[in-house]
Amino acid sequence: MPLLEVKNLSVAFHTYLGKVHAVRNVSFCVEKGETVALVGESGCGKSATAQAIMGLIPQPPGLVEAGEIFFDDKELLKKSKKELQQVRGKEIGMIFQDPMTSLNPTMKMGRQVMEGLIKHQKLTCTQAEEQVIALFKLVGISEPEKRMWQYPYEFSGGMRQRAMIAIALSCNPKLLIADEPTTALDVTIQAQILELMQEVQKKMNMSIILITHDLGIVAGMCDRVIVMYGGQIVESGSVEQIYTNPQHPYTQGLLRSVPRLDMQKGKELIPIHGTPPNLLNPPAGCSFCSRCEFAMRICKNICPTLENTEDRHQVACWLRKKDE
Amino acid sequence: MNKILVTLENLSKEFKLGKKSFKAIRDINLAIYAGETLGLVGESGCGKSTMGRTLLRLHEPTSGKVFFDGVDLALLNKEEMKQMRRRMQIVFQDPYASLNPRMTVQDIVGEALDIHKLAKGELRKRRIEELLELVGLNPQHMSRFPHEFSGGQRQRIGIARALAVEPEFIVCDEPISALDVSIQAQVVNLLKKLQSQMGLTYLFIAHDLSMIKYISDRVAVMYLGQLMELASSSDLYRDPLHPYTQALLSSIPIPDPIIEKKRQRIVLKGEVPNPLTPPSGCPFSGRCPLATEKCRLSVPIWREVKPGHFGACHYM
Amino acid sequence: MSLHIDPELFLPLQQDVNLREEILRPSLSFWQDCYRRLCQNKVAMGGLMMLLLLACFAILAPMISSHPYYETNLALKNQAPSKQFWFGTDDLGRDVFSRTACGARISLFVGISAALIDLALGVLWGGIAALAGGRLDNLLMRVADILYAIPYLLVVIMLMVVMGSGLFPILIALTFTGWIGMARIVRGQLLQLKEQEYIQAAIALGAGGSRILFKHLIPNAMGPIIVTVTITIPIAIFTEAFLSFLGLGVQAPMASWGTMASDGLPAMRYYPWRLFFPALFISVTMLAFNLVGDGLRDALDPKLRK
Repeated sequence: MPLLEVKNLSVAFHTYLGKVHAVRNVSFCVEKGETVALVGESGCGKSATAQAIMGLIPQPPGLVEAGEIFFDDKELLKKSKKELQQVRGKEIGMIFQDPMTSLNPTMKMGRQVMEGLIKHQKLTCTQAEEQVIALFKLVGISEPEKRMWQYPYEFSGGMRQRAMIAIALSCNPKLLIADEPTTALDVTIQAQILELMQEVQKKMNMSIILITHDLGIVAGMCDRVIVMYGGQIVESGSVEQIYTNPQHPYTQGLLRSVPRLDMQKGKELIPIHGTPPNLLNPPAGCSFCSRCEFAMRICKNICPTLENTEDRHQVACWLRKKDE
Repeated sequence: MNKILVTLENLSKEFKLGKKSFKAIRDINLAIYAGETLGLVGESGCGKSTMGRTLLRLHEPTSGKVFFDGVDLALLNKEEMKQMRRRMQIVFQDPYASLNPRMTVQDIVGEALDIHKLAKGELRKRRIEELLELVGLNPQHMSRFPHEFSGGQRQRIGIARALAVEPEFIVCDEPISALDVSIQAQVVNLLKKLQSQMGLTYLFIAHDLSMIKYISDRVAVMYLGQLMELASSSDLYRDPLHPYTQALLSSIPIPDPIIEKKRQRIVLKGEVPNPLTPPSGCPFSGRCPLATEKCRLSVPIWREVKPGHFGACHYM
Repeated sequence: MSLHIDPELFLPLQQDVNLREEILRPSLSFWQDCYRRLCQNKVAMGGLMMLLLLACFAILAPMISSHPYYETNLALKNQAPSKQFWFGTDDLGRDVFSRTACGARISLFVGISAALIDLALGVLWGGIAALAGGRLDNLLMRVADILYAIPYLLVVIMLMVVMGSGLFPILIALTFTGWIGMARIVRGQLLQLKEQEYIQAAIALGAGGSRILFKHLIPNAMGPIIVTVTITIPIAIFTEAFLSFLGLGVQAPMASWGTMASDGLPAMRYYPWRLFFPALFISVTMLAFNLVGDGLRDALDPKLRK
C-alpha cells in the first residue's frame, strides 16, 4: 500500500488572461521510506502538484478541478479545512524554497518551531522548548539554547533552511515535501543540507518528495524520478533507469543540455530549442510536440498516455508505438 | 600567446554601510588575454559581480588600477571613457530587470546605436534586424515590449544590445543563472558561437562550476573578495590545489547516480563569514579543513605555483 | 487492449522551426495595459464620469444660462431654487447656478494649474537631488524641509499682504510649498529606479545623465507621479476654497466656491441653498478626483498585474 497516491489530479488557475491549466491529469505514488524526485522546469506544474497535496492552493484564483489524493488511506481532497490542518504539519511536512519569506520575520525562531509542537502534539511550553533544542541539534544548528531566541534575520541562509527543516520535522511526519530546498543556497551549503536530509530520512524512515530542476541533486539523493513537462508526467522510473536509459525525448534532451563536471573538454551541450508551452491553451496533443525533433503527425493531435516499458519505467510517448 | 587585453592591478572596492565599510574585493591581480573566456566562480558574497562591474567602471575602484588594452581607465576623461565603453560591454543576470520595461526591443537595442551615432533611419533599422537575427530572435518582434518575451529570449535581447556597439570584451555577469535548465544551454551555445564569429573576449561570472568548466579556457576562484586560485580549465578541474577549490568541486552534484553513490564529499563546516567582519589572515581559515595557526595570522601571498597555475595558500 | 491507429499518423511532422519562438499574445504597451486595467475598475470609471460631467458643467453652463453670474437684481434676492433660477439666488439676486459654474471654472483652473506647477518644480528639484546624490541631494532636501516647516497660513497671509488677493496670488500661495511633496515622491522613485540593472546597462553603453533621466528614469517613475498629480488637484481645490472662505480669494463679482460658501454660511438657516450647492460641488469634485486617483494607482502598479 503506497503512502501517497495521486490519481488524475488536475489544477487550474484563473488569471486575467484566461484559465491556466497548471497540472493536467497527473497520477503517481510514493512508497514508505522512498525518495521521489519531481523534476521539471518552471511552469511544468511540479510546485502546483505539491501545493495541491498540502492543500495550499489558494482557492480563488486556483482550483483543483479533478482528481483524488490518498495519503495513508485518507482522501485529502475531500477533507475539510480543519481536518486538513491535522494532517498538514503533523503527518506531512513541507520545506519551501526561500526560507526568508517562509519564516515569520517578527517571531522568534524557537516560537515558530514550538507552534507546531504545541498544536499537534499538545505539549506544554517547557516540553516544547526541550523538543526544539533537540530538533535544532538534530539539524545541526549550533548553540541551540541561544539560537532559539533569535529572529530569522539573525540566521544565515543555510541556517534558516535548517530551521525550516526542523519545523517540518518537528512532529515526525511520514512524508516530507521539499520544494527546491537548496536552489537559493550556495553550493557548499547545499551539500550540507542534502547530507542532513539524507541522515534524517534514514533515522526517521520518512518518505521525501524532492521538487527540483537540478539533475545532479536528483542523481545523488533519489530512488525514483518523475519528469514533468507542460503540466503532465512524461516519464517516470527508478533513478538508474532515467539516467542510463531515458526514453522520452524531453528527458533525453534535458540530460544532453546539462553540463557535467566530468564532461570531456570539447563535448557539446545540445540545447532543447524553443520555449515551454503556453498553458492557457494547452495543445491537444503532446505538450512537447513543438520542441521535439522526433515529432510525428499523431503527436500534434492526440496526447500519449503513460505506459510501462520495463519494470516500473513509464513513458508517455508515441515513439514507442511506432514500431507496432 | 595572445596579447593581454585587460589587466587588473591590486584592484580593491570598498562599500560604505553607514559608519561601517567592507571590502567587496581586495587586491585583485589578474590578466585577461584577448580571445579567451575567463571563468570567475565563487559563492554569494565573494565579490565576483563587484569585480566585473568595477572593471567596467560601473563602480569606481577604491584603489588599484584597471588597464584596457594598455590604457589606464582612471586617466580617461568623460568623452574618452564614452569611446572606451564601446569596446567593453556587460550582459546581466536578471533578464527581467536588465531591460527597460517601457521601451520596445527596437529602442533597447537601438539605444546603443543612438548614443554613439552609429546608424540612423533605414540603416539603423537594418542593423537592429541583423543583431536580432544574430542572437536567434525573430526581427518582426522588434516593436514588442520586454514583458512579452520569455526569460531566455530577454537574455538574448540583452546580448544583442551589448553587441550593438561592436565590443571586443564582454563581462557576462551570471547570464544564465536565472534561466531554465534547457534554456541555459541555448544561451551558452549562442555566446560560444558569437565568440568564435566575432573574436570576443569574455569574463564569464557564474556560480555553476559545471557550466564554467564547459565554457571557460581559464578559471579563477574567489572567496570573500579575494582570489584563491587561477588556472587553465583542465588543470583546475583535474588537479585543484587550493583547499577551497577542492571542497567546491566535491560539492557539485553530477547527474549520474552511479558516480554520485560512490563519491566522497568534502563537506565544509560552518557558513560563509559576514563580509563586514572577515577573519584575519586567510579569508578561508575559518572553514578550511587544513587550517593552522599560520593561516589565521597571515594572509597568503598570491603567487604562481606551477606554470600558469596561481594560488593564495600557505600549503599549496 | 490493442488500438488500431492509422500508420500514416506516425510519419514525421513538418514543423516550422521559427514558430517555436512565436509570441501568442497581442502586443500591449505598458500604457495600453494600464488603460485596460483602469477601464475595468468601475469605481474609478464612475469618478471619471463625474469629472467629465463637471467639466461640461463648467464649460457649458455659463453659456446656456440666461442669467450671467455677475448680474444683480435686488428684487429677486434670496429666492429658493425654481424653474427660473435652478439653484436659487443669493443676497444680491445673482443666479447661484451660473455662479456655481463660474466657481467650477475657477476651481478647476486653480486645481490643475497648481498641480502642474507642483509637478514641474517637484520633478526638477527631486530629479536633480536624486541624480546628483551626496551633498547636493542633502542640501536640496534640507532646503525643502525648512520651507515645509514654515507655518502655511503665515506664508499665505504674508503673500496676500504683499500681493493682495486674487487668482494669481492664490496660485502662488498654493504652489509655494505644494511642490515639496512631489519633489519627495520623485526623488524616492528615482533613487529606487537608479539601482535597476537597465540603468546600469545604459551607463555601460555610454549614456549620459540627461539621456538616463529623460529616457529611462522619468518614464518609469511616471506611475506614482501621475497618481500624485491626480491627488494634488483636489487638495488644491479645497485649499483655494478654504482660502477664499477666509476672504483671501477672488474678489467680487467673480465667484469661487469658497467665497460662495463664505457668503452662504451666515444665511444657512434661512437660505440653505446658498451654502448647499457650493459645498456639494466641492465635495463631489474632491471625491471624484480621489476615486480616479486611487484607480490610477492600482492600474499603474506593475505588481498588481495579475
